[in-house]
Amino acid sequence: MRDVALNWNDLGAAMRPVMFFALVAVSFPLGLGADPQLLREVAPGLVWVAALLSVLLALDGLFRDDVLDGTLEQWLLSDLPLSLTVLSRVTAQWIAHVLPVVLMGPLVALGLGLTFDTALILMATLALGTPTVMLLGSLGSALLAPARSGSGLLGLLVLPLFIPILVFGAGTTMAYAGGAEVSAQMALLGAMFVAALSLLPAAIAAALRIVTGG
Amino acid sequence: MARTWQWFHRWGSPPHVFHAGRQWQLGFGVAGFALLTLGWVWGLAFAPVDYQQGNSYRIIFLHVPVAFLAQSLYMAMAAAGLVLLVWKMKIADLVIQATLPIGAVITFLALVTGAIWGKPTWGTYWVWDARLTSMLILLFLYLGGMALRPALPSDVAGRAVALLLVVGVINIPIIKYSVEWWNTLHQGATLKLTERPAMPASMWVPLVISILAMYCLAGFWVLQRLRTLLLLRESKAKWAREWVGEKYGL
Repeated sequence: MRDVALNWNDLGAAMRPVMFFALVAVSFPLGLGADPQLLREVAPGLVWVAALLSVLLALDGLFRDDVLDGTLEQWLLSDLPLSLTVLSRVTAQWIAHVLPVVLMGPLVALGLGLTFDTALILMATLALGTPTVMLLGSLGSALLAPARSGSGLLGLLVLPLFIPILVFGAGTTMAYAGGAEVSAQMALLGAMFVAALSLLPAAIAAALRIVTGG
Repeated sequence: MARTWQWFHRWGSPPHVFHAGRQWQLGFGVAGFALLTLGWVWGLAFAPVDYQQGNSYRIIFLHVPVAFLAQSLYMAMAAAGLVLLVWKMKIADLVIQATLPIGAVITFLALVTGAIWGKPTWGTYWVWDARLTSMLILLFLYLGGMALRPALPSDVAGRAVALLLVVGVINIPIIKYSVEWWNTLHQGATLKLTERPAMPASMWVPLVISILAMYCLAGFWVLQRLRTLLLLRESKAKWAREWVGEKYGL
């Protein structure tokens, strides 16, 4: 909770991913041309790619300050299991930095010409998918916590791991737009989230222990 | 019990790995070279011409072995990563370090030979086919592993890379599956490998020989790098000084 509040205090930083997201989304029509048919077809993919990039931005330096200023040592010493502390940290970061993107996503999609229903489905896939992406990416952030220049590297480490979510997130939306039943794909996205939620906090905690030499 | 595990523990000792590794390296090198000569001469010169693809199919004798190897090497590294994380055997770190660049080059080679083969067969160098795409992602996983080490302090880098590889290997089947799903969803008129009749033995026997050869050669390369890395890391140790002294008369 404190993390969320802290992020609230630093509203400018917390808004950076969503502003970045909006700008990337605006750049696509400018680059691709304003043909409504084309934009409608590529919209789910565009929104998802833009969302992944803004998650990368939200992940940048997630644990760096904690390692540098000794907060991490306190986590290690505290009675709470490290994986739980890590999970709450990641959740707070997701709420502050990525949730705005999830809410903004359907607006951008409407702007690109998707129907209202499809935009809602897109939002649902973003809401289910971005937490998984956030957890996967946090692993990269944790590994890079002591690195001096991590941001460029983070993308190389974690973007390949994001691919299943991208495929299912954008794919589900496109399938829905094409008139297909999507509950199975939604269930798969949910399954990936549950798997990530149960396995990755421990892996992130292990990563933090490794990089701090603990 | 202690006796049965002794051989395993011995492979944790640098001098043992260095000296016994030399024998293995020699064996792999000779076997790999012999098998490759046999497989390629047979495959390139004597195997029958494919009735659909003509002679262009002969790149299979390079392409398929390296494609096999690209995935096996990643698995092997992830296994070494697990050994490092669980048993803290320091040698496993060097195994990973030795294998990473080789694996990346092999994966790149698989992609390039695939593209060269694709041109005469499919009429294009690249299609967004499920297998091609997952191979490309594998290349990025290799590159990520290679890029992580220099970014971190050296005392923790090894285990960090190992963790990344282990997580990567859990993800590989999911990535593969999702890419296949994505591909079948989008690509109605997909470019398939032309339906071939079941390969005659005169084609697949040299192929299997080439695959075995490539595995042996990979063992040779990995051991070569592993032993060099060992010598560098242990350059202050007595056994290493003695060996260099004997070999080069320093």
